[in-house]
Amino acid sequence: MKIYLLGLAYTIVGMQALYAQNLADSLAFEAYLNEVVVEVKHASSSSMPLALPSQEVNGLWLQKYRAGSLMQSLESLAGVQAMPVGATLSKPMIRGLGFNRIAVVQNGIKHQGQQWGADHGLEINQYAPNLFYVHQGPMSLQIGSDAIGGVLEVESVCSKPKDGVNGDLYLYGGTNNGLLGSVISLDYQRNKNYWSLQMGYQTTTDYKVPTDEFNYLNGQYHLNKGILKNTASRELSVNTVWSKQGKRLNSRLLVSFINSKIGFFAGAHGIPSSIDLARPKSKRSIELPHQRVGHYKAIYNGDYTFNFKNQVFWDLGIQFNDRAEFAKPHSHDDAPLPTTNKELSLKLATTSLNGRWLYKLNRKNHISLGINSELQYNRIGGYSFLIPNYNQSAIGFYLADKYYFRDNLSMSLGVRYDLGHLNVSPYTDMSFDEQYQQRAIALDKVFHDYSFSWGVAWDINHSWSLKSNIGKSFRMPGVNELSVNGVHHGTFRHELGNPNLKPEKSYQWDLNIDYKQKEWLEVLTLNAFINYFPNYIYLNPSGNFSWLPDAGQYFEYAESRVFRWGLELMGTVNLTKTLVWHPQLAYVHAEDMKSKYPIPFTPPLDLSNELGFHKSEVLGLEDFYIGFTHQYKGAQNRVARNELKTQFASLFNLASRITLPLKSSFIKLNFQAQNLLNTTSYNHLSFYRYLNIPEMGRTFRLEFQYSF
Amino acid sequence: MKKSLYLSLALIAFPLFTSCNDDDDKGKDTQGPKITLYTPADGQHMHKGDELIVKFQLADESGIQSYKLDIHSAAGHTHEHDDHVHTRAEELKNWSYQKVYTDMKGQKEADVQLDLGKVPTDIKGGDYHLGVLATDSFGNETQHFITIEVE
Repeated sequence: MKIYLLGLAYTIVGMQALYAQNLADSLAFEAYLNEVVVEVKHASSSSMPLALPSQEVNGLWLQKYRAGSLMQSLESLAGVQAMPVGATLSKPMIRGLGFNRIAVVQNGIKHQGQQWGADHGLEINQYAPNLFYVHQGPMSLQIGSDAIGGVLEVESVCSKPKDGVNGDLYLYGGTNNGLLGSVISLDYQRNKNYWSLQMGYQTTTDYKVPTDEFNYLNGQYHLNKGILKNTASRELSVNTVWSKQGKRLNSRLLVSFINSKIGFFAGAHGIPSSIDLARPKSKRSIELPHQRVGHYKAIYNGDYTFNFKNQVFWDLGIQFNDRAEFAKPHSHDDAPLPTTNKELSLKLATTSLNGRWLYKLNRKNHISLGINSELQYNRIGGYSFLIPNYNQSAIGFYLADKYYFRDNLSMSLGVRYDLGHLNVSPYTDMSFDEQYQQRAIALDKVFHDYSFSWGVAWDINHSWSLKSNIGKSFRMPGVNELSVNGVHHGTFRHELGNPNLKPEKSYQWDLNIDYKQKEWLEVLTLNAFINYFPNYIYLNPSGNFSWLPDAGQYFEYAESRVFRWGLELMGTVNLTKTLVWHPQLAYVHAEDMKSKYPIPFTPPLDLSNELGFHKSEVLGLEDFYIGFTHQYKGAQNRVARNELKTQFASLFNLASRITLPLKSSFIKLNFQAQNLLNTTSYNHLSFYRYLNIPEMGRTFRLEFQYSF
Repeated sequence: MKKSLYLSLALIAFPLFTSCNDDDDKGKDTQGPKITLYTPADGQHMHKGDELIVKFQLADESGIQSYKLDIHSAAGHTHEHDDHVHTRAEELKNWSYQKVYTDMKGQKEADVQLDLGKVPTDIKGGDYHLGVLATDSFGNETQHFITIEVE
C-alpha cells in the first residue's frame, strides 16, 4: 500500500510537466479501438489466424460490461462463462469447458497458475490496457496442451496513433460489497518507443445476497442481513510495458505483478456454524479462512523481419504463482494440531520459450513453423495436502499453412506434435492410518500426442461470410487426475487419481456464419459446434465408500466417451439511428455417451437482450449511452450424479455512460446497476453453489475516469 | 417489416429452448437414497458406556449399493469455531468410528439396525457428528448427519 501511495504522489508531481493533449486526438484514439468487433475477423495483433470463431474486445467494451473480475466482465460475451468464487474471483470457461481445458495466453505466453482447481481465480487485472480475444474451439495447434475448449488471448497495447504522454486516472466504487478502487495509468510514446505503467488497488467488504437463510446438509443457517461473512478482498496490481519498433526488429517487454487476499466464506471450508455466520467484525477485515495469491510475470516478445518473405518471432516468459491458503489449524482426530495457520502453500514457477518462423512463400501462401517449450516446478507446503511436488516439461512443434485461393477465400491447415515429461514426487501423510498415508504416488511419465486443424474462411459477398474448421486437440492429464488419493479440502470428496490416464483427446467441428446488412442489421452471427472426446477425464462416483472419517464415496478419475454440441447466436440490430438491440443466445449440451449422464459444470441456456440508446452529443456532453439488459439463465436440470440442479434466473441490468470534454482532456462517468430487482438467483457454476448460496444482490457501480 | 420479423423470431426462440430443457428432466436418476434416521435423535445426550443402537431406513428406486456409518468429533475437523474444544488429559482420544456396509445387493428399501455396542469410555467428551451415508446403484449419494453430546 505504501509503495502505491508513493508512486501516486510521484505521478501527480510528474503530471504537471506533461504535454497538453488535443482532445480530438483522444477521441480519435477511442474510435480507433472500436467498442466491440463482433465480426470474427482477427485484428492484426492476434497471431492466431485460424478459421475459428473469435471475439475481440478492448478496454471500452470492458468498461461497459464491467463486473467484479476480468472473467465476470468477459462473461457478457456469448459462449464465455465465469466460474466465480464470491464477488471478485473467477476462473474462465468457454462453452462449458474450463479448468485445464482452456488456456489463457498473455503476450504469447501461456498463463500458468493452479487452474486445475476449483477455488482458483484468473490472476489478471482487468484495468491494464489490453486487447482481449476469445477463441472458441480447439486451439492445440498453436498452444499445445490445455487449449481444447479455446483460448483467452490477452495482448498488451503497445502503441498509440500519436506520440506524447497520456494518462488515465480511474476511481471506482460499488455498493453491496463496498467496492473502492483506483487505477492510475500512464503511457509515453516517442519515435516508435512506447512505455506504459498501471498501478491499481482495490478493496471490498463482505458481499450481500438477497436472502437471510440458506440450507446445507439438512441444516438451516441464518445470514445476518444477507451478508456473507469473510468474503472481503483486496488487490494490488502493477503492470508495465515497454515496446520498441525498429526497422527490422520489434521488441516488447511486459513486467507485471498482482497480489490479492480474498476471504472465503466460512461455510465453504467445513460445515458452517451459526457462530461464524453472526460474529461481528470489521467489514473489510479478512479473517480465516482466506487465500493469498501473488502472480509475477516477465514476458519478452520480439520479431525480426529479414525480408518480405521471412520473419521470425520469439517469446520468452518467466512467471511465478505463489498461492497460499490460511485456515484455523485442524487435524484428523488425534494427530497433533498444526502450529501454523498456513493450510496450503502452492508455489509454481514456469519458464516458457517460443519461436516461430513465418515464411511468406508468395502473396497467397504463408507458412509458419513453430516451437513451444515450457518448464514448470511446483512446490508445496502447509499442513494440508492437495497436490504433490512435481516437475513438468513440455515441447511442441507445429507446421501451419494459410493459403489464399482468392482475396476472400483462404484455407488454414496445421499439424503439431507435443512431447511432455511429468515427474511427480510421492507424498505420505503420517497423520493418517497406514492404509491412507500415501496421498500421492510417485510418477515418472512421458506423454505425447499430435494435434491438427483444418479450416476454411470465406467472405462470400458483402453480406455473407463463413468459416468452417475441423480440429483435433489434446491435453496432458493433470497431476491431480493422475496421482492423488484423499479428501479434497474444498469439495470434501475423496478423490482417487488414475496413473494410467492417457492424454485427453478432442475432435471438433466448428461452423461460423455472419450475415451483415447495411441498413439496420449490422451483423447476425451464428457459431455452432459438435465435439467428441474419446477419453474425457473427469471424476465419477464409484458408489463405494471411503473409510476415512467425514468422507463420502470414492470419486475416481476415469476416461469416458463424451459428446458435446452447442451454439451461440448473436446480433447487433440498429433499430433506429440511436437505438441498438443486441440479442444473444448460447447453449451447450454435453453427455457421457456410456452412462448417458450429463457432464458436470455444464452451463445452462443463456439468453440476453440488450437495448441501448446512444447519442454522440447532448447538452455539451459527449458519448451518452444508456442501456437496459435482460438476462435469462435457463434452469440446469441436466446434471451429473451428485451435482445440484439449479433453477432458472431472470436478471435485469442497467448501464450508462457520459463524457465531459475538457480543454485538453476528458472526464468519463460509467454507471451500472446490476441485478436491479435484487432477484435471488443461483449460478450453476459458482464455487458456493453446493452451499445453496445465491448470487450477489442489487449492486450499483460507478466509475470515474479522468483521461489526459 | 423485416425488423419485426427478426424480432419475433428471436422471441419465438425463447420458449423453444426452455421447453427443450424441460424434456431432459425425465432423464437419468440423480436422486440418492432417502435416509430416515429413527435413533439417535439430533442433539441427543449420551454417556460413555451407554448402549448405542442406530436405527434408520434407506429407500431408493434404483436400488441401494452401499452405506456407511460415520462418527467423528464435531470439533476435530474443519470447523472455524473452537469454543467447544475441550483440552483435557492427553490419554483421552477423540471417538472415531467408521464402518462401510456392502450387504444391500441392490435392495430398494431396507430397515437397518446397527448395534454398535457400548459408547467407548476412553474417549474425550463433547459434541460428535453421527452420520449415515448411502449410495444407490448409480453412485448418487446422500448424507444425513446429526449432532450428539457425549459426556
